[in-house]
Order: sequence, then structure tokens, then C-alpha cells
Amino acid sequence: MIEVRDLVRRFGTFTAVDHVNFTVSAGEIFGLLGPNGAGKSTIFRMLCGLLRPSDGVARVAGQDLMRAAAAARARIGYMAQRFSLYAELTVSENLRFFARVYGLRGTHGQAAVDATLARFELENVAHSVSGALPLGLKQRLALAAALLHEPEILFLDEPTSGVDPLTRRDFWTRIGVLADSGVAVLVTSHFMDEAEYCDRLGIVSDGRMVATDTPGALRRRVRTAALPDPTLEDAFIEIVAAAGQKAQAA
Amino acid sequence: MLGRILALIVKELMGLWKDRKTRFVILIPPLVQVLVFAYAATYDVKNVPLGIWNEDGGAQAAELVRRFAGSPAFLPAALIESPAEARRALDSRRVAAVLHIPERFSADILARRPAAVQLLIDGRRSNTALLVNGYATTILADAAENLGVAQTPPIVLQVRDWFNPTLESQWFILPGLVAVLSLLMAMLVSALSLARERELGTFEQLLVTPLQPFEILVGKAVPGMVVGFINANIVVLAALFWFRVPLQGSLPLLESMLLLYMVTGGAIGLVISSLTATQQQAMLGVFVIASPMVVLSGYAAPVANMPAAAEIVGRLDPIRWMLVITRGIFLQDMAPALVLQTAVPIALVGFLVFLLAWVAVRRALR
Amino acid sequence: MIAWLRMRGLVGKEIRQILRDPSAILIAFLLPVVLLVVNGFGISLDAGHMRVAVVAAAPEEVVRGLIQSLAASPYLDPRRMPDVRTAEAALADGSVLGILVLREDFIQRLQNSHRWPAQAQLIAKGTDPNSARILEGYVGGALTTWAEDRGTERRTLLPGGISLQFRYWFNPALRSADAIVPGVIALVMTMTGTLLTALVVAREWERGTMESMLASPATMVEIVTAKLGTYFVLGMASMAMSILLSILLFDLPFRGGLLPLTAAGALFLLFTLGLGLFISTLARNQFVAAQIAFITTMLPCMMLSGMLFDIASMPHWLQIVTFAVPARYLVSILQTLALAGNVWAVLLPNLLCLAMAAVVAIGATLAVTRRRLD
Repeated sequence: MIEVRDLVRRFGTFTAVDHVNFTVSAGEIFGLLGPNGAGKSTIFRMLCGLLRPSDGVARVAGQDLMRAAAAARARIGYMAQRFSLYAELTVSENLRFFARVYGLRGTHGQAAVDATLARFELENVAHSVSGALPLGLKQRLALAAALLHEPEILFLDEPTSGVDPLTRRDFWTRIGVLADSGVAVLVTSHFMDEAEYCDRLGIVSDGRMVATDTPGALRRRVRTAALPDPTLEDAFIEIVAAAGQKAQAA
Repeated sequence: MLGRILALIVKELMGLWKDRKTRFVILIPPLVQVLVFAYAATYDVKNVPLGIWNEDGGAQAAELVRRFAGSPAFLPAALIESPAEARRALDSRRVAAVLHIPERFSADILARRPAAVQLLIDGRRSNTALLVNGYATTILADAAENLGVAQTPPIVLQVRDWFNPTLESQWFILPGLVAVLSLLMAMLVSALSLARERELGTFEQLLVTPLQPFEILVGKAVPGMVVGFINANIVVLAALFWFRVPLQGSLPLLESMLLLYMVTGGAIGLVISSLTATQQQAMLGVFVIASPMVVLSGYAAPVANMPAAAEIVGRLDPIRWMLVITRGIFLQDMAPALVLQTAVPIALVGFLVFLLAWVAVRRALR
Repeated sequence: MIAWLRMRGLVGKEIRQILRDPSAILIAFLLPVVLLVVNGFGISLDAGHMRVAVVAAAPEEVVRGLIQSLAASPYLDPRRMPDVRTAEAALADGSVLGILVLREDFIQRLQNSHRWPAQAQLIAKGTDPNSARILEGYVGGALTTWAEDRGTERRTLLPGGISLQFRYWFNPALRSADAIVPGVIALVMTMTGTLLTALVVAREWERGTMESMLASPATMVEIVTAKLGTYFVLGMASMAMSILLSILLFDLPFRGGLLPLTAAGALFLLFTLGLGLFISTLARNQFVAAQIAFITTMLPCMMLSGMLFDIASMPHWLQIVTFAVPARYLVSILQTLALAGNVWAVLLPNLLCLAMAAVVAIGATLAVTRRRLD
């Protein structure tokens, strides 16, 4: 569903993304982990058609979104890092807007909005102004808007930053359900405990993909006598450090 | 495609309407401005403070003073007794003009000798000075007749003013305000709409959706167009019903030209916005573009007075052509053919500018 | 109440923000140049070369003499036309501003003093009342001169008669630029001053940085003072540039002193900066702040400051309103300084009013900001 091959992005002399490769299949939750400034957001934006690659291939459902027709864009859902819906509109007004923009009109659109309100338990706040909602509800609304049109691929950029643990767990439950229904999910995150929820992880450091594997496998990679039961955080630190040393030696 | 654009337009208008402050700003200030400016913009000269320096005790001099004092153009403000006093009064702006009648005036009149009277005028306000000149000459001519001075002028100029026989300033200003105010608002609102979206981060969310850049531009231009159109009509209504400016031409024609004009205004706002990064820069851009546009349009001062270079540049200015149309339709019953012909530059500029905005937004996305 | 170390920090932050976002620099230095050039050259109430159609039924040599006489005036540009219909068409489409019509009996009546006055007709386009009146004045004057010249030639001047002699104080050539450019400078300062600050506070609210500033120990007085101070320096530099430019580009005379100029500029700047901050604080979002700034500065300054339209000629209630437009005081001061010199009788009251305006604007800002804290 998502295919990234030898993806490169340069900003002047600075290489933000350096020959990155990975794929995400339908029904899979793939997490992009990495320190700040590693290039995760840049990869994201190239996949969503917001930024043009300097080289390489970034395809979603077989299409390059930068060139794709409107129909191709209707197959993806996007949830930005910052709340990027319209703060002055109510919850249902926001949803109705995005429904129409994705081509769900008239009764069909209204039905989709109602279903989404129910599915995400937003009925109580349907007529509340979005900007006034607590952060957890805002995130839920943003996710709801991203899924309104039932996309096959979902992009989530730091979706749970600033949210309490309960809301976070609720969120990941929903994501799991989505993945089970066949949606491909690409997530970026800072939180190691969240990384456990992913089917596979890609660790990005200095613009390069330094490891791609399941969480368990990554943990096993750094298991040593001194560290018999490493957490994902240990794995992450070790792998990034090792990659850094390798880069310096090269 | 249409559905998406409509959705965006609805969203924009809802956003504008919901914010109480924006609602206020769109409706109230235009109303206030119309009322204030229509009364302020007067080219008539009234109540000019006049200093009277009468060195002559005779009846003829008194008669002259009476005529000046009684005229609505002048307001006697000071009695002057010496040159120094005259100088002080003028310098300090206590008076804008001093009527100086020398000692020999009455004697000269009685003896049928040429008599002279002097008027000192404050040149700091040059336009006023010119007009004062005119009024004073008329008053003097009437006075001369009354004083029995054998002065039948060789030539009398009889004036007829077309379209505005009483030379009402407001008939001239209000149609102008229709054009100027509406375009400024259209530009400002559409520029800010786009800049705001980018600055708040919601623009990216739009780009990921099926919305194409062209559709986004159209959607973003519309709020500006709506606001501008409403403003224009507020002024039109005020002009027709409060100030009783006559409407000689066709109202539907005026409204349709206004719609076209608003498209151009919205497009200009978009271009400005697409070249800037923040709302502050967008606003600055609008100011920088709007000021020359207003000046070069001939709104405040006639196009004919401008240096040739300025006049040529001014031909690109949609306000200039719209002024001709609004003034023409209000005061002149301008022929539709002539109106359409005048509207061509407006349409052309609008089209080109929209194209520019489209190219700029697409370029920015790369 | 004011901790100087904190002030230095706050001011440093403002300076860095200015340097990083070119907007402020552009407002302070580019905008004035644009405004001055455009307004200075574009707004001219000096009517020159007013095109007049001349339709005269008279001997050829007389008409030619008349046209020459009209053309001799620097303000008129006569065009001979064969008949009234052609001339009226030209008037309708704007190619001439007026039509001077002399009928058949004009010359006969002129030559015979018993049949004076001879009537000439001027048809002007009333859509522009100001130009119409000015045209009337010039044409009337040119005609009278022409008649007098003919009279001198043929010695038919009558004895007696009153003549009116005009003397213009300060601006003998009646260049409108000398009167208008000070107005333009006031316009420039109004816009730059207000624009510099109008979005500053709203932007901080929108981005959320205002909340963190309020949470810090900095008091509201310090925050407002830091902003005002930094932008004040920028504004004064901008004003200095504007005045220099006016003198260079428009030959603006300057007969007054530097002290009253600086005082007037500083006070006015404080007012506009305060006004901008006030708008920004009240609006809390840039969209609204921008529109309010636009509406409350540009048009009122042009219309109500006395720059273009004479205040004394406005309806009484409106004259009272203009007392609340500080640009009015600045325009008066600048016009006087430029053309007359240090006339303290004019300068002092106006400076006082400017000072009051500044106090009101800054006071209002502080009052509103304090309230917003709770």
C-alpha cells in the first residue's frame, strides 16, 4: 500500500532524507521512530504529496500523490501533529466540511457524519466549538475527520502528543481495530511505549533508515549478557548510537 | 469539483459570520465611513475665517465689508488694525484670509477713480486659496454693482454644469466611495483568508484532501468578494436613500459590474497573500498595493492632474475604471456599451492576476 | 515596578523578532517610500492643462487671438472645435473638461460698449465639482485678460471700477504639493506607526506566546513598554527618512526648527503605536486586528486630517469629530513648519493635543491589557 524506495530529499546542501526504503502493507501498523530532526516529518510530507522528493520513489496505493488526481487523495486520511481543523467551527460543522470535500454529499454525507460522530463518541459535543474542546477530544475529532471518508491508508503524525495515558490507550485501540479491517497505518511517534502497538517499526536517524523490524526483533537485537531484557527504549538508544558511530567511522 | 469548491465557500462564510468581531468589522465601519466621509469630502469652501482690515471710515468701505461678512463663504473672525496684526493672524491661522481696504477706497469710489482692495490669503491650503479667490471676485463684482460703480464688464461668463448643476460634492464622492471601499475590503479579506489558513496550519490539511490548488484559490477569493460586494451596496444604499444622489443609469448594470469588480479584488488579494508568509505580511502587502491604487485611480485628485508616467501606470488600476463606471452610471446614464468597454481592463486585470496567484500557489507547493 | 534587567530581556526579544521577520523593517522603511512617492506625485490639486473645447462663431482672426490668449494661461489647453455637438460628445467621453461657446453676436456686442456685457457660455462637467469651479475661475480670468488687452489696443477701457489684488501668504506659487506633502507625511506616519504594532500583540495571542509571557514575572507595564520602546525607535528612524525624502523628491521647503519637528513626530508616533497596540490587544486575532487597523487609519487620515479637504468647510458636527483625529494636529504642525516657520501660536496648542492623544492611546492600551489578565 505504501512504498518508499531510495527516497531522498535535500534542502540546499543539507540532506534531510537519505535513501530511505520501507513498505507498509494493508492492515499493518508501521511506526516511524526517531530523534527530533531525524527526517520523519519530511518523509511523511513527501508521502502525502506535500513535498516533492529530490530523488527516489514515494508511492501510496501505487500512485505518486503529488501528481495524483483528486480520486487518489480520497483514499488517504491525514492527521497532523498540531490540531489543524477549524477552531471556530463546531465539531459537526468541521466533519460536514471534510465530508463534502471528500465527495460525500447530501444524505450520503450526512449519514457518514452521523456514523462518525457515533463511532468516535463525539455526539455529546457535536455542537461544541472545536477550539474550546479539551485536547483529548480535539485529537479524537482530528482522527474522526481523517477517517470520515473511510480511507485505505492512514497517516498519523505524532497523534498522541500532549494527551493523557487513558486517552492514548483508547486511541490505540481504535487504531488496532482499523488495522484489523485492512487499513494501512503509518505513524510517527516519540513515545516508546506506543511503539509496542505497532506491527513493525522503522528507526530513522540523521535522515537514514537504520533499522526496520518488529518491536520484538528490535529488542532481541540489542540483547546482551549485560542487558538480558531490554526495553524498546534501550533498543532504540543502542541502535541509534550504533548508527551514529557507523556514520562517523564512514 | 464544484461540490468541493462550494464546501470550501460555505466553510469560509461560516467562519466569517461566526466570529462576532469579524461580523462587526465587516458591517459597521463601512457604514460609519460612508456617513463621515461623505460629509467630510467637501470641495466647497464655507466659513473661511476672515480678518477684516478696514482703514477707511467711509460708507462704501462699510458696504463692502458687509457683503463679505454676509457671504456664506466667509466668517468674520478678527478685526485687524495693523500690518503686524495681519501677519500674526495669518501665521497663527486664526484667519485664513485678510480683507484689506485702504484709506482712499471710499473717496476713490465717489470720485470715480480706480479703487483697489487687497486680499491676503493663507497659501498653506492651496486649494482653498484658489476657491477663495473665486468667491471674492464674485462678491466684489456684486458690491461694485451695488455701489453704483460704472463697471459693466465687457464679458460675462455664464456657466452651466452638466450632470451636477448644483455642484454637490457628495454626488461626486459617494460613487467614488462605492468603488474604493469595496475593493479595499475585498482585497484585504481574501488576502487575510489565505494567509490565516497557512499561518494556523490548516492549509496543509486542505492540501492533503482532494482539493486542487485552483479550487482552494476560488474558495478563498469568495469571502473577500462577498464582503466587498456587501460593502459596495451599503454605500450604494446610503448614497441613494440618505444622500439622495440621483441614479441616472441602470442599477442591474451597476450591480453586475460590481460583481466583476469584486472578482478582480479577490484575485489581487490572493496574489498578495500567495507571495507572503504570514498574516502580518499579507496585510502589509495589501496596504502597499492599495495606497497607490487609490491615489492613481483619481479618487482623491483628478487623473488629469497627474504626471504622464503616473497616468499611464494608472491604466492598470481597476479602481480607476470602476470610478468612471460608478460615476457614469450614477450621474450620467452611461450607455451600456460604454460601460462594458470601460469594464474590459477590470476583467483583464482580474484574469491575469488570478492566473498569477494560481502559478504562485502551485510553485509554493513545490 | 520596572526591573531593568527584565526590560533588557524583553527589549532584546522584540529586537530579535523584528530582525527575523522582515515585515517590521519593510513597514518602517519600504512602505513610507512607496506611500510618499505615490501620494506625493499622484495627488495633485494643481490643475494644469485643463482641456477646453472652444466653439466660436466669429471672424477667424478674432478666434485665433482668443485661443492664443487661452493657451497663454499655464492652466488651460484650448482645443478648437467646429460645432457644439462635437464638443458635447468630447465632454461626454471625457476628452475635454469644458466647452467655451461664443455665439454670433458676441463680437458685435463686445465692440460696442453700449451693448456690454457680451455673453460667453461655459459648459463644465459637474461630476467633478472642484475641477469645474477651478476651470470656471481660469477661463473667466483668461477671458477678462483677453478683453482688457483688446480694450487697451482700442482704448475702450472705462474709467472707474474696482480691482481686486490678491497676495498669497507663504505659498505664492500656490503649489499644492507644498500643502499636500505634509499631509502625506502624516499619512505615512499614521500607517507605519499603527501597522508596526497592530498585529504584534494579536500574533502573540494567536501563537500562544502571550500566555507564557503573562506567566512570567514580567508585568504588563514592562511588556507594553518594551514593545512601545523598540517600535518607537524604529518609527523615529522611519520618520526621519520620510522627511528627508520629501525634501529631496518634492523640494519641500522647511522653514521651521528641528525641535518642534522632533517633538511633534515623537508624540504622534507614540499615539499611533499606542493605537496599534490597543487594536491588537482588543482584537486578539490578527484577522480582525488587520481590518480594524486598516479602517481606522488610512481613510480617516486622508479625509479628516485637513490634508485634502478643508476642515472649516465641513459640517459643524464633523469638525468636532476631527478633533479626535490626531493626524489633523500633525498636518497643521507640518504645514506650518514647512511653509511658515516656528509659529508657536500654532505649534503649541497642536503639540499639546498630540501629547494628550498619546497619553490616551497608551493609557487605554494599559487599561485593556491589565483587564485581560483576569
